[in-house]
Amino acid sequence: MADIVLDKVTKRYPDGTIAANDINIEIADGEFIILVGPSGCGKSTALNMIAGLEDISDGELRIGGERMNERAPKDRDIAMVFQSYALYPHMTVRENMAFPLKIAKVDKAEINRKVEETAKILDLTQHLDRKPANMSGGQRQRVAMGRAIVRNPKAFLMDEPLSNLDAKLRVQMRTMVSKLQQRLSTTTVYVTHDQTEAMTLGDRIVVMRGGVVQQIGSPQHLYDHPANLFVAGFIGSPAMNFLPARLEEGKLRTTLGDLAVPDSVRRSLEAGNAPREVIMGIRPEHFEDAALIDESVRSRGSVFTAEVDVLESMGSDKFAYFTIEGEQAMSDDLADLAADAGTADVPDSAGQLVTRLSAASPATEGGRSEVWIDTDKIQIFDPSSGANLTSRQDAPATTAS
Amino acid sequence: MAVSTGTGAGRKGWWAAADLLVLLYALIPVLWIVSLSFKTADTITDGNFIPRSWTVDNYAQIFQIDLFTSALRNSIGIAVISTVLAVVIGTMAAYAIARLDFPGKKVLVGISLLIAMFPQISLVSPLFDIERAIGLFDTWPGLILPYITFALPLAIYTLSAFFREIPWELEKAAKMDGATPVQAFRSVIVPLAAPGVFTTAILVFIFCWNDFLFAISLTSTSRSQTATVAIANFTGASQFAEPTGSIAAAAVLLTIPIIVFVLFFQRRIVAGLTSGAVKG
Amino acid sequence: MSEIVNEPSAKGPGTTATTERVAPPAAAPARGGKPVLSEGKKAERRLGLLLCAPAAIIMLLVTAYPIGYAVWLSLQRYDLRFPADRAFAGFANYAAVLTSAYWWQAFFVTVIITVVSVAIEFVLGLALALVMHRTLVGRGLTRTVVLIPYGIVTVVAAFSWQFAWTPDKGYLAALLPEGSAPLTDQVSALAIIILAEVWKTTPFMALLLMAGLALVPDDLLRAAQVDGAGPWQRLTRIILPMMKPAILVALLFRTLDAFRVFDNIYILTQGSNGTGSVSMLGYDNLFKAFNLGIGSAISVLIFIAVALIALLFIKLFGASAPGSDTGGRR
Repeated sequence: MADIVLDKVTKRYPDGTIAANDINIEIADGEFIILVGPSGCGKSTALNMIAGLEDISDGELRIGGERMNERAPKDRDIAMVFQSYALYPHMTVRENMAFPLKIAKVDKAEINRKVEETAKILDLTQHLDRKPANMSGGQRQRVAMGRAIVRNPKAFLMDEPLSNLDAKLRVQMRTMVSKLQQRLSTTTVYVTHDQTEAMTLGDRIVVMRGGVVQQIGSPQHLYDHPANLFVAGFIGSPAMNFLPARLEEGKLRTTLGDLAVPDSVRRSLEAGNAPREVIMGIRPEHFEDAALIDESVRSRGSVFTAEVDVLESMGSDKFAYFTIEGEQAMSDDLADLAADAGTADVPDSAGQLVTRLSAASPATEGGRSEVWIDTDKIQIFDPSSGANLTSRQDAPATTAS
Repeated sequence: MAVSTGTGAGRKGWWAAADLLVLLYALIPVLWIVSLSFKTADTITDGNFIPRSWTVDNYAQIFQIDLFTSALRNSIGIAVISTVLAVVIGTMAAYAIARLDFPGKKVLVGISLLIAMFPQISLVSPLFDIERAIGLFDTWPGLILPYITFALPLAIYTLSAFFREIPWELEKAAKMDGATPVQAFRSVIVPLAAPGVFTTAILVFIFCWNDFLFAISLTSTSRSQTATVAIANFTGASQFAEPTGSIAAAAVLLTIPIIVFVLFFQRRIVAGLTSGAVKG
Repeated sequence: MSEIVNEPSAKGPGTTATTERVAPPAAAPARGGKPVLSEGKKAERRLGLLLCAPAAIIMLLVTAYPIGYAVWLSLQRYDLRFPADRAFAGFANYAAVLTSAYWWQAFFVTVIITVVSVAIEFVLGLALALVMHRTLVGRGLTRTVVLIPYGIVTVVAAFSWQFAWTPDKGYLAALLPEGSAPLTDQVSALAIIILAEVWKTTPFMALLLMAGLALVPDDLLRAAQVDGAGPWQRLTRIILPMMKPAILVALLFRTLDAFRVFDNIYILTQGSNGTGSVSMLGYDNLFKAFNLGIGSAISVLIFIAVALIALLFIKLFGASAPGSDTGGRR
């Protein structure tokens, strides 16, 4: 058990590329922290530096208060679960799990006891004498977890451990990982590119991009108060809608019409000396079919009418897609997000507005619908810096759980 | 599997015919020398592919020839020692090339490439002179050294290919499990590489066993003359006897280990490929 | 001495040979500029150098030094029968060799054997590779059986062919008209030498090609079939272009190997009747004429010829030097 501190950690390769730049993260003892971001964002580099598999170019890594930079992986007392599981194919499950203990010269009876105990927790007892080649993906994943757990290390490092499983199994294993971590309460650093995993698993999430930490906070905090366009677009599914907007006379002029700016938002904007051209962000669930809304609620927001392009009924909700006329919101952050999602080259993907309506909505595909926007929930971003202009300054930047 | 054209039964027939051709191609010259080795002295020149009358006299005879028994001993000893040394040295180098980051790696690969293409005859005259000068001529080490040298490129390429197929993460995992680089090598890479090492050993052995040019150039007496040279110099059990039967019998004896290894080798390769949960 | 050693090879496939002496000192300061290495990284480097040292030392000791020595010997008048006459002779040995009809005959015989046998081996090897790769029945059997010619001792195989073509003794000679002695006529003897070479080494070629064949995805061939390509078009338009690197490596290695042909000729004809290769010539000068000076000059000329062939392959066909990372292919 130990806390892990990354203090101004930087990774610079000999060719000059910087894979991780000035990373500061304080991970509390027993905390489950997620590093998330698109591929190449530096999350795996950060994990490998904690593991000792890559050198730290600058800054300091401390585990349990001790400097670790120069220590070999074996002397850091941390266990790692790999994306490919990295099970030793020539060893049985039992031998795989016993391996770290054998290396540490634990005595035989003790090894046996620990392996049996771990196998029981992971429901692997009846597979102990099988070879990994003959096992399913889920079973192998559990063996990999077992190998990490068995030595009771100071911390677990997990490198996209679930990404090789199919969707259904991934959800099951997610729950298992979560329960296991609670039970063992061992400090855990978990890398993923999947924002759903990040949201559901972590006590806190670290969003990274281009080697730089964008924001650290609890899942809900990141969702409600994203620090910038990138975090706003990365967290949440379906993603937040972004529209170009103009601040004029205390109103927000957009292609959806003039929207009222809530007082709280206006105050922080005025204080921050905001530009007139901005990007407005709003999540799909902050829309509703106007036909289902009370007058009193309706007056709190704005309403627009448009033709429904596509309507997806999920049973519990309906997703209605509209085409946005005119220009689209442009910024480096959004371009990065589109590139990551692979939608950069898909026609029309950017000019689309996604709304989540109640299942009771009478909207039809091709028909015109009246849609209500909860203007309280609008977030406003600076198009050049990407910074969130509406995020409440009093909100803590990071919240330990 | 294969791209399909035509019907099942007909295609199987064609493939069976093709297989048969391959079989005949590979086996006829071997069977011919086997046949010769079993022919009696008076039928050996009858030109029949299958012996009319059979005998094992030829085999009994060659073991009477001291030159041949000593040559067989030399061949086995020299090939085994060269194989062991080349595989050990090659394994070390191949592991480093495939797994480790260190300066001078490309140089080593370049050198071994050059040697793989090297015309051995170019070395014969200088080695002949050098070995005579330092007393290695006509000794086991005098042959073992060039054998190791020319086997090393083969060993390094084959082994580094095998090593590359073992995913990096396994070694990382071993390090995370507390192993030092040496422990990671011993307990994870070595068992996984064993089939590859074995295969390499066989290839190297075949190379050493097969050599003729070095053997005939760098040896002169029964002290170190190998079986290939002995056969080439055979004049028969007695001065006037026709040597064909003896040569054939000796040739078959030289082929037996190859046949045994080839069968064994094929199994190891298959085992090596299917043990691969390596992909994870 | 060791400076001369790598001269010819530097023009050859591995320009690495020249960088070799430069690389370590040049690399050291460049890496030294890197921030402090952790213990693990330093241990890795030490281990790497340590593990490679024995291989590098042996290979250089047994090849680089002797080839340098051969160059020096080739500049001497050095006849083992008259050791007292040993003296520096400049390029006299080379002049003697290059103006000799024996050298040029051996050279052309070697070229013919090399070109013809490699060409046949390629076609046959490709067919064999396709059979081994695609056959529906007896795949294991064919793959095992082709390893026999590959593994068998060349001298043994050569004797098998020699006996087979010896009049009155051999089953193949029996098929020829009465009174013919194929091993004593230049053309037919060369044909038999080529046959022996082809038989022995086609399986090796086939195995190299099969490795290339395995890299052609089946889906690609299905797609081509759907697009209307017949079997021949699939072979020439898809399989062969995709196998190009494997083919070039196989051809390069076999060409260099065939160029040093020795064992088969030694057993089959002893090089008589104009069938001797350059290797035979070098051997004879050394062990029959005992002329180390001339023998060494021939050795050096063969070395240069091989280096030129390798260079030709790399420059002309763009064969990537095997070992430049893709060379791991067996």
